[in-house]
Amino acid sequence: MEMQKGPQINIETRNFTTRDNLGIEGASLTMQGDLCPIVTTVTPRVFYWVFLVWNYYNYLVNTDKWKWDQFNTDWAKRNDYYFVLSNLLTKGSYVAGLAGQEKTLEDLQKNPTGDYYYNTKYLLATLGGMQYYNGGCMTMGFITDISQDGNSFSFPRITEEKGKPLALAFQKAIEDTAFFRDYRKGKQPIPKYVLEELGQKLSFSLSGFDECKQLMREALFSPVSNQRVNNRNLIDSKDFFLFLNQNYKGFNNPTYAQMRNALYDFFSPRGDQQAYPEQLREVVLGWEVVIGRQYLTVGIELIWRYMLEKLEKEITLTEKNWIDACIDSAEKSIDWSDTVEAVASKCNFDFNTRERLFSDSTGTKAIEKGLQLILSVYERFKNRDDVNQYYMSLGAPVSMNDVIQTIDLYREKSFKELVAFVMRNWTLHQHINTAVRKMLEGRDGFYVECVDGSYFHRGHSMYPAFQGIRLIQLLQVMKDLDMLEVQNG
Amino acid sequence: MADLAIREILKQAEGYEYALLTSFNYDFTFFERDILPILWSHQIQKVSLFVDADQLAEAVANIKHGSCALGRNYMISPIRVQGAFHPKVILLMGRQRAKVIVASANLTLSGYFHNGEVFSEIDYDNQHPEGLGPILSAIRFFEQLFARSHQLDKDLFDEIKELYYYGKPSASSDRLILTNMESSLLEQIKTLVDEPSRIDIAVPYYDNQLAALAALHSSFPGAELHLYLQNRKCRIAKVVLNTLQYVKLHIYKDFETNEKTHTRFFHGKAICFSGNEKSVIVYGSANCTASALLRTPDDGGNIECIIADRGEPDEFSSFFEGFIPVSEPLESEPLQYQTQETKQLVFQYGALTEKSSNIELYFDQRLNGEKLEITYSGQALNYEIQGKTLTAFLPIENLELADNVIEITFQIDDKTEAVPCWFINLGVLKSHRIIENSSSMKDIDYNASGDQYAQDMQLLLGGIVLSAEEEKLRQARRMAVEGTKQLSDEEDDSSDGIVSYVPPSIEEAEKYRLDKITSRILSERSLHLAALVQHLPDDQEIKNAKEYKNNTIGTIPKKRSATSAERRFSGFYKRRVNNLLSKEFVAISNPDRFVDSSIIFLEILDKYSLSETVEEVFQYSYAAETRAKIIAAMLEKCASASDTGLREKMIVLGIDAILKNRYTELIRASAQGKVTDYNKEILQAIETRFHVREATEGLSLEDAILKSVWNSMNSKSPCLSYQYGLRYLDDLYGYKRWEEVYKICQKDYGSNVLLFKDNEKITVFAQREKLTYLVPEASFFELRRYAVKNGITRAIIVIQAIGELKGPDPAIEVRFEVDFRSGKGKQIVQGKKTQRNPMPFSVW
Repeated sequence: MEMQKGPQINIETRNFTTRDNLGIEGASLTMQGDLCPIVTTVTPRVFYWVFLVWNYYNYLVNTDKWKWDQFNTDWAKRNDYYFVLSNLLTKGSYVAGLAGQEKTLEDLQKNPTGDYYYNTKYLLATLGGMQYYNGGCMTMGFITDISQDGNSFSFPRITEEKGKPLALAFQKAIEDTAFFRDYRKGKQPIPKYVLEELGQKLSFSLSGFDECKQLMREALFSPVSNQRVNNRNLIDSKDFFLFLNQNYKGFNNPTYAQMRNALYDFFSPRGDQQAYPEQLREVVLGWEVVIGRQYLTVGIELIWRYMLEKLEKEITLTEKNWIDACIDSAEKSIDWSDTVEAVASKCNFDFNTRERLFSDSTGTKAIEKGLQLILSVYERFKNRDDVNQYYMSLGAPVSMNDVIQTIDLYREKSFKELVAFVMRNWTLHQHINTAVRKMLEGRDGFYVECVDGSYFHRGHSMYPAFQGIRLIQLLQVMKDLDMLEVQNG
Repeated sequence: MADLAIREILKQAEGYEYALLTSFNYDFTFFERDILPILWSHQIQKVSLFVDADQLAEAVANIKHGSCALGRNYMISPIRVQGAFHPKVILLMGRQRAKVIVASANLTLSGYFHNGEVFSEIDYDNQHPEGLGPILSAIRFFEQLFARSHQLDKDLFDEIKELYYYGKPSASSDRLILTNMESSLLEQIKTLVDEPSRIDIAVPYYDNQLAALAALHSSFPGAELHLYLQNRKCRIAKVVLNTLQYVKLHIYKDFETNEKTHTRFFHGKAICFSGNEKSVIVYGSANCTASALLRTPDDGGNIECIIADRGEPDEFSSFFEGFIPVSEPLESEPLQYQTQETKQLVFQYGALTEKSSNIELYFDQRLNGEKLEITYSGQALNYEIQGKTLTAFLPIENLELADNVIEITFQIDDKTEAVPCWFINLGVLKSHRIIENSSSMKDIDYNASGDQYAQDMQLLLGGIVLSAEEEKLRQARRMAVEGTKQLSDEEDDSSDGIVSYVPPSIEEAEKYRLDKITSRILSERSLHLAALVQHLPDDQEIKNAKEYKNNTIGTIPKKRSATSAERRFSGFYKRRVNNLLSKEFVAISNPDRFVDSSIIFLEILDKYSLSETVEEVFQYSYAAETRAKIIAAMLEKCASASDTGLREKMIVLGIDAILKNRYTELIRASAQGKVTDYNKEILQAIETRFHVREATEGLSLEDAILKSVWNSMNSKSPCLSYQYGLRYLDDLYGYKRWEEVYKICQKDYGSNVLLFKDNEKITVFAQREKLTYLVPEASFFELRRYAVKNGITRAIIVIQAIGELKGPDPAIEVRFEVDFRSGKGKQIVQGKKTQRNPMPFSVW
């Protein structure tokens, strides 16, 4: 082969999240990934795992040359489109949360009688509504891109051990439909009656697919420990949720706030200290750190947002003047010359106070409330040797342990001095370090710009908010698998 | 324009052993996370970098301790020139092939992920013999850089000369590698180009006088000059540009590759000379500046490296069509040059040679102060000045971190300055490189003695990953390499799309990920133990064993003093063993790997406390304590191990450690008293994990294990006699039959002890004098073992004056209650007869 002459362009990209401009949100996600693997905040429905596995199977056995683009567009997305269409055509079918239904509904309104061609503009993302479920299929061993002898496949295969039984179980439930017999492959338009029949059989809740559900329950909740997944924590998290559900009211459909309350306050040795089964100790303590990390994160973000608003008004400030201006204009309901130790000792807040610190932290109150939130986390976790030290060390240089150590150093100093430290190190410098990488990536980049030692505001999208909690999605998965009683559809 | 990723090329790079790289800017994190693991995954272990000295100093100043492998796992050589050390070259060499990549991309995140950069690769192998010329040019270039460096990587450059294609005559090629080491790039380009009619220039930086442009114009007066300028991102002096009539501007913002549009900063540098007969395109590191194109490094210029490709008249014109023109006025600022502050001391490099006890740190000095003090971590350092070089000596014992980046403080008169420095640990680097090479493994001699042994073991221990940071990095590297696999759009033609695949267990996967280098050495040591487990001596062998002083066998070697190298090694060992035993590392490391690493540490202890008695290296009490700690950590690590081999290995190691501890206690009369505690800890830990005693009736397994341990010890160094060892272990172990419990209680508690047992509890009546010091902790190990085995949950110990009544209060009676399930005990309060402050206690 002849070598190519002339220059080539080195193009490689690395993905950063666009949101986390301080680079401090990832730690909680990592912890949650450990405590609740496979089920993420974007994979709440069991249906898509099952449906995707069948799509792979259907494609692999009905074609002999496998191409990713072809599978994505002509098979997976196509079948997803007809699935959505069939459910929209079926009276009483529960369609809430179904990805892509708006576009599909338009098609239906334009052509109420059929036949229906596959609309190739349906869902631009890879695999349509199922793109996020691909990783789980791989993790649970339904599909693989590695052969038993370690070679890699360019297109994934269905596994004999797990994937094929699941695909066949799914297929068995729809094999007497006209869709399966005549339309599961090919490009011909599909008559309305075929889709109506499919809609009767195939629903989002997988009712009637008991064998699939059983296989999914096994895949998710039977102990597995291999290089793809160790689901011990997932099982414990599931049991933890069942424990909450069985012993406390309102945990059939909890809100994120309810979950924060339960995970952070009910069982902590520094919270309500309610009893729980000893075998759940690790996950109970783990989730406490997750929520602690979330409070810490919003605490820092509150301070940062106020700093950005301040800079926007003042147009330009040096670092020192910026910090001083924020401190001067901040609303002070406590004495900022008190020692950090004195202030921190009053920060053992209950749930409602803590949440109010966040919700009432608009405008000039933000700095004080933000730092009080941080101190409440400090009070909760200082001198704790029962919590997972790996979790505590995540997110350096602003890990939970870093925060505790820093505040320890500031105990004798004033609250005001700690405010200045946080503003300088955990917000401004942290943002600059994070933004350097993002800006180079061509993403949001800097919210501020430094010219000759003075900062200018460049605009921001800083809206502090609590992150998701995967237990909520785990709840939906458990409902889909008939492991909890279903309420509200 | 066509795009491809340099890292993708590296990921395909099989069959190479050496990687030589250059860069102007340097980013440790990027290189060690995104490039080095790829090289290592292909066994490219001999890695040597050349980086601009000032840029390296900046990178070192920004580094965090513990975060870089500089000087341990790869060599880095700073190059200082009057201009900039600016080339971006990667040269990979193997026995039968070589590859060179010349690029505009620095070894930084922006160079590889964010900018638009140009590059090309040239291969030399059986299929590409025409690549030899450029490869030899690249090798020559690196040799010239080596000559300009501090020449620390001499061995590597000597090895390269052994490659069979080194110096081989090469045929001419359409592709050349040009550097400005001997003559300017423009002079060389002129010899390749024949009266071009057009010159296309796409570079981001121009010198402020536009001298390079002017030189191009005067060298090729018949050519139109076309400049491709990225608006607001390129750096060119507009004022001067406006005076030049001979250039045509093409302003662009974005560029296109493979029909994709990019808004990135175009940091690539390419100049194409097109004529009627042929065209030549040069590209790589050189901007359109006088320092790059018109000068050599000895003439105040940069060091640059480019590729020159020769082709048909329009062969390369499509490259410049990728710049998407915009009709905007040019906005650009001229280049700004940083003026270097003149410092009295400029750090050059540091090195720790294999036989030295000092790290030597070299500085260029222009001192004009009167008083100079150099300190590290508050301790004053010796230094010497010879001509323009100041050398500071940092004793390795004083080194606090297992990191090669350190901060040295200078006080010149009243001015204090902290300078980040780094050093190459030549021994560790060598071990990192030689361990990979099976023939060089023989260089490490496990049976050596004296300084040679200490030196070899230091090499070995230095090469093992032993800190949580390093372990995380190692795992991250594997993930970085393995996690980047993506689904590609390719056809496949294998069977029916259904395959059998059960992902390997975590243990299996971890094994797979083990660093191939150290595992080879470590497994060699494990083999020894595996053989030990298998070999059970027969009775005859035991009978043949001679008793020595009743309890010991073999000749006790004479004590000798430690050499200075051994003393240094002792400090090194202690630091490394602390790393090994740190909670974080124990938690994170792979069990097999941890056990194997621990074995090496145990063997070194034995070396200095048994086969060579050099107590100055390790105090016997330190050896006993460290053995106990290592065994405890290994057992903790293997708590869940179901692997029979690992289990037996652990039992053998544990009992081996116990007997060695006891031996040194007997022979050396050192660590008296404590050894029994350490040994009980080990034995209890083994029992708790593996239930050896309960699992075997008639002591067969222990017996077997003991025999094999004894046999092994006897073959290598003096040890306890077999019978004594068995007895000692039995004493340590405790008893499982009621009669035996009774016997031990009689022995410990006095001849008139009375024991009663029912289904719930054991009651012991004993002589007060004996029990007051034996109860509660002492012999309850044995009692508890019996009770747990027989489902008895409690013991009541009644201390009475049985037999002869003496003292002022002969009626005294004290009762203790022990719960065997929890191992907790307390004194039962019984009116006046009890102690005033009954304390809870533990019996396990």
